[in-house]
Amino acid sequence: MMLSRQIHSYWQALPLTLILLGFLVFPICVILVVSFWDYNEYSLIPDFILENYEFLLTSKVTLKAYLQTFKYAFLSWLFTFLIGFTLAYFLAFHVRSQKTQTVLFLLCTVPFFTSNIIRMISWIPLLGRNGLVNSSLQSSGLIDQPLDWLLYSDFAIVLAYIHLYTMFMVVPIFNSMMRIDRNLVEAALDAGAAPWQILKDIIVPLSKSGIMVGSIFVFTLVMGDFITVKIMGGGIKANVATLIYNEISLLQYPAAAAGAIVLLITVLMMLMILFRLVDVRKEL
Amino acid sequence: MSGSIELVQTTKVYDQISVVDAINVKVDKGSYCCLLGPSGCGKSTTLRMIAGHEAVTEGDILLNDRNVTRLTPRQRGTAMMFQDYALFPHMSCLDNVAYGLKVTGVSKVDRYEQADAMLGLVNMAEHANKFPDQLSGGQQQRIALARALICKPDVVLLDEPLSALDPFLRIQMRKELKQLQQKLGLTFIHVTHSQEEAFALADQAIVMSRGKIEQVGSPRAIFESPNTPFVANFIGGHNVLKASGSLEFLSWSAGSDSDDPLLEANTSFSVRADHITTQPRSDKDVAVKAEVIGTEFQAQFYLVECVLEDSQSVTCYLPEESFDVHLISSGKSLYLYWSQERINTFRC
Repeated sequence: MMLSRQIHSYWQALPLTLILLGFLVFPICVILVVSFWDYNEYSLIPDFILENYEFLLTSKVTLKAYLQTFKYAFLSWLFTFLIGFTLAYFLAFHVRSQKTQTVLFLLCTVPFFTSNIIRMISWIPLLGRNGLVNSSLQSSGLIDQPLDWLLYSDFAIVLAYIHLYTMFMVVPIFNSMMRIDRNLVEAALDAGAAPWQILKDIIVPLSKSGIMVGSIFVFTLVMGDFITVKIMGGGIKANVATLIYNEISLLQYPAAAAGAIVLLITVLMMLMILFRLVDVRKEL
Repeated sequence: MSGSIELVQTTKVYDQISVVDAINVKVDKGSYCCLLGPSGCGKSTTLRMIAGHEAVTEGDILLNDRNVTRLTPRQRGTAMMFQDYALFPHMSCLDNVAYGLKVTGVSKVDRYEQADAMLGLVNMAEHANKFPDQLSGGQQQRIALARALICKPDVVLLDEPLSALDPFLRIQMRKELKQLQQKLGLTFIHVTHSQEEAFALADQAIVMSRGKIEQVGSPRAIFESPNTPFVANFIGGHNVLKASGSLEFLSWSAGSDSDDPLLEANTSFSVRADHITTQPRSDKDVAVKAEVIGTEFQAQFYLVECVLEDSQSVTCYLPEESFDVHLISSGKSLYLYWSQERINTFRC
């Protein structure tokens, strides 16, 4: 009886297991295998060499790309967190009626009706040398020369990330804030806490899990992204994923695979650190 | 250290509806005051206005003769204990209790020392390092009380503090609350919808209904002579009747030696259920014919439900020894008696 019940639960878990095995585990294994292969200009040569990794881990380009990627990830995380937390706080604590709350929340998701690429490209006419921002700044006499750093720069890349991913911060933070008992805020007020103390002692600790979930989203998305860097960086900026992308375009699959494996390990290690800080399962 | 509270024309309006309607009341310092009323009567709103968590629409709140209407809770010197205790779930009990000191910048050593002492006062010293979700309801309540008391308030405000507990614990915690209040000499204002709780605790009870105060007084005075039909019905154990129909004789039969009518026709009055008997005690007693519609055994007494000839219903509590199962059962007719002095006429 006991045994048959166990077998039943395995059957139930089978479809998902097969999907994960076929579409996640298998490709990663293939990438792992290929990352040890040799290659020349025309073909892949099955082999077991460590040169791909050796080149990757000793190259200055890799180091620079990783530093750049971390910079993007950190800046994007910082600003999406600040904006996302403020937005979620406003929605959860200052909007009184539930109807307005829902309407405003849906309003936040409207940008998601268009694709990522379109949303990025729409920045170009705004930020370009003769774009809207530069021309209005010039005509108002604030600057003489158009600002060069607005487009095809780190600024543009981080701006696009913030635009794309703030919502991934808002949703989980809003979710955990909505679960905070409003009486707790009153109890803190009753104890004599100032508004900033309530924020620091009550609201931030109790929305910590939402902040963590949002951070994981933003971090992993930015770490693995290359299209934003390509479009907003105008081809002169690079991060880890663009390196991999370039290697793929040159048909250097084993090198790209090695790059992907190292990136995967890096992201997994960071996630492990984040999971140490908070029990995410409690939140789901 | 104790606070007297005075409400002067205090009003709260939500969406043009007066939830609390120009109430005037005074609570003596060091007394245990219960705000009593059905849900939605404005008692919680009144408490929250005193606490400073609800803006007063009109009128004033005086604490120790100082107008505190526009002050923050901490500036007022009040402390509130919330209905579900609202303990901070991410802090240990010690940190919960010490929070009021932390926000005012008391050093860690000092505030933990005081919080420890406060935990000792509520007999929770050994649970200092536990988190709220590891405690039982009664223990959580003690922590909430300690947290309220740490800022040395003059007035402690309790919003239905016992409603989350099971009946047995409720009676025990009720005693502890009263003992603590007497020990500290603080003014306690306690909101409840249970008249039993209010009667057991209060020095002064305030009965509210629909945003207005119905009656203020000691529980005994309120029970002896309720001011209004609402109070008589709400506190229970009373029959609210009208001098009409089979009770009309009250208007002309005022006893043998007087010609004054006992009650005008159609006047409402109340008579306590335990003051009604089935045997006359003197010839001046009021006698009414009634039909029994049901009886219930209630341990100390029998509850007998009757209906008068003009279909007003009367409940009486008959002591066990005067209850005869053969005479008093469903469908039997009998006479109910009560003495004239037991008739309580309403003041308004």
